Amino acid sequence: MKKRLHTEWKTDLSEQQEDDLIQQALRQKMDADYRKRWQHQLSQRGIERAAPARVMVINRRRYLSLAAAVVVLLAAGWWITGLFNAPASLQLADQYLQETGRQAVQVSMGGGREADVELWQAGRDLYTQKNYKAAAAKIEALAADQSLSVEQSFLLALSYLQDVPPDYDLALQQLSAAEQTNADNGTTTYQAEITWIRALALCKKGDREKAKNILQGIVEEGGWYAEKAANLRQSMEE
Amino acid sequence: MKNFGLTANEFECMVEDMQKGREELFEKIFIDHFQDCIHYLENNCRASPTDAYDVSMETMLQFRRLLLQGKVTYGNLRFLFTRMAMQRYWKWKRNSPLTHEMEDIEVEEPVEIYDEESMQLLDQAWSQLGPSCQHLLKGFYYNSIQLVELAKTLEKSNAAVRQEKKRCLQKLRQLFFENKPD
Repeated sequence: MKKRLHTEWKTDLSEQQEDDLIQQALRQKMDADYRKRWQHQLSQRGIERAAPARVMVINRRRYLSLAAAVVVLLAAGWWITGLFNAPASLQLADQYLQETGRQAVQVSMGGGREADVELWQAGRDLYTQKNYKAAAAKIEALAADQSLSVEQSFLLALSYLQDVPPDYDLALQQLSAAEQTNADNGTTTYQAEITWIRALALCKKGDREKAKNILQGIVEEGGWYAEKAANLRQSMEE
Repeated sequence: MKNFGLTANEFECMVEDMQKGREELFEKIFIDHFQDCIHYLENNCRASPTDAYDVSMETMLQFRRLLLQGKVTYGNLRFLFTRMAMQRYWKWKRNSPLTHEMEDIEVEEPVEIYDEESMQLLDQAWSQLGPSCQHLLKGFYYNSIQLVELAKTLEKSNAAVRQEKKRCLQKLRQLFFENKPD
């Protein structure tokens, strides 16, 4: 049961009691004000509080068929990787690239200017559909008359990297452009991701020494990609 | 980017600005970092997007308070923020492993003591209060800045600021009860 301030805020409170009471009340009010204010700022950048995830109820039979499907997929994956016999480091780099690429659009990404909202949205939709070539074309169209935001350059780099065949040079160029935009604006948007994707791109491109240096930096910094960077670096040594 | 690109000097300036009520730089840095924190919680704690958002928001509120109280020192701000978010998430999930505990910083619980009507009345009274009273009461009660420090920034004597705080609180009380329907 929540309290009512007008019944608690009595005239006979000592100064200390009144201070404690007002401190709590103002904390509740101002925390709520800040949440509202920051939610608005985040929303302007396209970062929304997602709706709570629906609980998926899986019955036993469906669970078993799902498990069987996973086993078949894993077996197929094992057969395909065996078939192509790709080095472990490239497989790992691919896996990490896909993970980061998926997360990049799973979270709502901001950065679109109002006039180009449709084009940007179309690019993101195509990217989500894994139509990387078309996604890149949409984002490139945005760049025709103005510079891209960090988010746009980043998604463009990911599109180049995941296209078939990948264009590593263009991707690296876009990552540099994203970094430059951050430097110009004094921001650090996606900085960790930019560095991480650069390392993955260089690894996949075969520029092993450069990739290893960047990975080492990520490991030393101890950030969010440190563990994966260590794994990848180790697999490059093997 | 251990310190969000801030030098030690810039960090000091940012905190000083916050104490004076200018929070633009703080907000810019931490709003920029918000999505990274969400990513981190999703990837490392398997938090749902909604949980990661809420935890990042509460961490940002507490981090702001700690900065104002001088409890955050320059060094590895990014690491500290992320650890705080992770600790909050684990605590919230009630399965906090000891390795996630931070010795010097305790996770604050959100304050939800008063009912909605009380908060509406307080909002209304607050909006009718003058800006100087708002600044003083917010600084003292919410930002936990001592009156001596507030006196320095306001360039007034300690006694004058103490008196002013008392007057502002009386005014807030008066407005609060004036707005209350009988």
